[in-house]
Amino acid sequence: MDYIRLVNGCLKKETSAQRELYAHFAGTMLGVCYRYTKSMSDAEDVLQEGFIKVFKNLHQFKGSGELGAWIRKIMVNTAINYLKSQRNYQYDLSYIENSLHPVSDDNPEIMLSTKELAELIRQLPTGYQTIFNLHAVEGYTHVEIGNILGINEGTSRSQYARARALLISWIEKNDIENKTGIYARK
Amino acid sequence: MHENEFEKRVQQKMEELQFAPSDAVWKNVDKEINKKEKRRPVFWLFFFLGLMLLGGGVYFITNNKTKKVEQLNGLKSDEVADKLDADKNETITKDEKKGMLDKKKENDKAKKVEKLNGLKAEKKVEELNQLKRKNFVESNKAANSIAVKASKSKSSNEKTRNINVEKNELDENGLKKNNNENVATKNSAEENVVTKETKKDIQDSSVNKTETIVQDNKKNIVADNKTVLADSSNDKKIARNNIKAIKSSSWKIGFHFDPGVSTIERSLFKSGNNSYALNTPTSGTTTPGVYSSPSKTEAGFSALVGISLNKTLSKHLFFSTGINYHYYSTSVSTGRFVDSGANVSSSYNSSITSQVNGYYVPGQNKYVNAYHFLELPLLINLQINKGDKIPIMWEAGVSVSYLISSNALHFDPLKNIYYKNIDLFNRTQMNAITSLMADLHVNKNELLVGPEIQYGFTRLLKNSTGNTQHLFYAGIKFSYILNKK
Repeated sequence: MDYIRLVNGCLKKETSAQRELYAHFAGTMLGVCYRYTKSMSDAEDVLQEGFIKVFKNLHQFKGSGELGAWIRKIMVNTAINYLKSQRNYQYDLSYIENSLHPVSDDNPEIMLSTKELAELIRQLPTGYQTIFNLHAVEGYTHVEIGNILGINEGTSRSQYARARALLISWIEKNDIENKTGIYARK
Repeated sequence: MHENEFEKRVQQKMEELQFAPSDAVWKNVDKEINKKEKRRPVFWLFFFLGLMLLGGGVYFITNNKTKKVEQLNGLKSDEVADKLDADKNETITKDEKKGMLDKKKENDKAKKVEKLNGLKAEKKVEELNQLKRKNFVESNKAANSIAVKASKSKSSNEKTRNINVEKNELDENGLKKNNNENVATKNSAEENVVTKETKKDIQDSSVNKTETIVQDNKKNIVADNKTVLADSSNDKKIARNNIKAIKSSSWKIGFHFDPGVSTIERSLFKSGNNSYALNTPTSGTTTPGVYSSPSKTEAGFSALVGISLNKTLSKHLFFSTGINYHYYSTSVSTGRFVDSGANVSSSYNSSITSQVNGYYVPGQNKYVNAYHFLELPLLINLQINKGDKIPIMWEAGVSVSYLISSNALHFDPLKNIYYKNIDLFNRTQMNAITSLMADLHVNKNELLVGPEIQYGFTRLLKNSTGNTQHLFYAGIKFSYILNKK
C-alpha cells in the first residue's frame, strides 16, 4: 500500500483517504486495544480515541518510520490513558512496590490459538496485564515502562515476573476454559 | 528483541490478533475529525453580526447627537442674530455690526465668541462715549470761557459759540478730527466784528485750546480703541477658554471593541504552559504511578466590548470609566464526556474534593475554556506627545471584574479526568490595564487605536497553594469617543 499517498490525502482532508487508512489499520489496532482492556466495548472506545489522535496528529508523522508502528504507539498510549481515567480499572492499576519477584526461565510451548492466548492475557489483573503487554508484546524495556506508568523500574520487573509466572501456570495447566469462558465479546 | 522463546511466541501470536470494529467507531471518528470546519462559518457569522451591531449603534448615537447639536446651534444662532439686530440702533457702528453679522454666518463657536465680544465692545464703546462726553464738557467750558472773554472785550462772539457748538457736535460724532482748522477759519472770518488784537487773541487761544482738546481726544480715542481691540482679543481667548472649560467639564461617551488573545500565566512575565500544574506527590506517602499530567493549555480568542465615560482633567490628561463585557478563552485537549457522577479532587489542592455529575476523559479533542466577565475600569489617559495632529495617548489603570459564567475545566490528577466547577474560581478579579493609542479624528469624533494588555493580579483559583494562575490578555483596542458640540 502507498502510505505516502494515503497520508497526503488525509492531510488534505480527503474523506476517501481517511476511510481507506482507517479500514487498513482498524482491525489490527482493535486487537491491540483489546489486549489492554477487559471488554470489546472499552477496546472500541480506545480505538475511537486513538484514531482521532492519529488523524489530528498525522502532520507530525515524518514518514521515516513505518506508519503502522506509529499508529500502534498512539493506540498503546491512548489505552494506558484510558485505563488511568476509568474508575473500574484504577484499583487494579495500583502497583505495589516490591523488589522481590519470582524468577522463572520457563519457556513453555503455546498450543493455544491467538484469541485464546489473548483471552488469558486479559484475565490478568490490570496492572499485570498492562506491564505484560508493554514488555512481552510491545517490547518496551522496564525503564521505559517505568517512565510511561510513573513507577520504578524494579516495580515493573517485579510485576512482569508475577504476570509471566501466572500466565505460564495457566497455560501449563491448560486450564483455559475455567479462566476465560467464551473468547470474543463480553 | 526478546531472548526468551516464550516472549517471542507471545509476540508472534499477538501480531496476528485482529477484530472487525463496529461501524459506529468510524462514524464517530469521521464526525470528530471533520467537524472543525463546520464550526468556523458560525463563528464568523456571529463575529460580523457583532461588528455590524456595534457599528450600527455607534452610527445611530452619533447621528442622533449631531441632529440635537444642529437644532441647538440653530436656536443659538437666532438668539445671536436677534441680539445683533437689537444692538443695531445703539452705539455699535455699521461696520462693526456688518463684521459681526458676517462672522455670525461662519460657525457656532465663533458666534458665541462674537456675542461675548459684541457685548464687551458695546460696553467699551459706551465707556468711551462717556469719556468723550466728559472731554466735550470740558472743551465746552474752555471754549465758553474764551468766548466770554471775547464777549467782554468785543461782545461779538455769537458766531464763535456757534463754531464751538459745531466743533462739539463734530467731536461727539467722532467723525471730524481737524475741526480746529474750521474754528480758525471761522474765527478769522469775523474780522469785521472783533478788533484785530482781540481777534488774534481769540483766534490763538481758541485754536490752541481747541487743538489741545482735539489732540487729547484723538489720543484718548486711539488709546481707547487700542484698549478695546486688546480687550476684545483677550476676551476672545477668555471666551474660548471658557468654552473649552465648559466642554471639558462634561463627560464624553465612548464605545470600545478590543479583539485579542488570552491565556493563563503562572505569574507575570513567566508563562505557564500548563494551567493545571500538579502538586508533586510526596515520595513514599502516595501511591506512585497514579498521578497524571493534564493537557497543555493553549491561548485562545478574547474580546472586549464596552461603553465608557470620558472626562478631560487638563489639556493632556483624561479620566475614563465605564462598563465592559470581557470574554476570555483558553483551550485544552480532552476526550469524550462521561455522563457519570464522580468524587473529584483539585489539581492544586488535593484536600479540596467535590462531587460532579460528569467529566471528560483525556483525549485529543479541543475543548475551549470560556470565561465571561463584567468589568468596571478606572483609567487615566495621558497624551505623551506634543503634537495636535495625531496625539499619542498612554492609558493605564485598573479594573474590577466579576466572572458571570464559565465552562472552564479543572483537572483531577488522581483520576486523570477533567471536570467543571465554577466555585473553584475567584469570581471577583482585579486587573491592571495599559495601552498605547493613536488618537485619530473621525467626523469630529475621536477614534483611538493601539495595542493593549491586561493582567489579572488576583489569583484565578481559590485556595491555590503554590500554583498561582492569572488571566492575561493582549489585543488591539478600538475606542470611539463622541465629542459634544
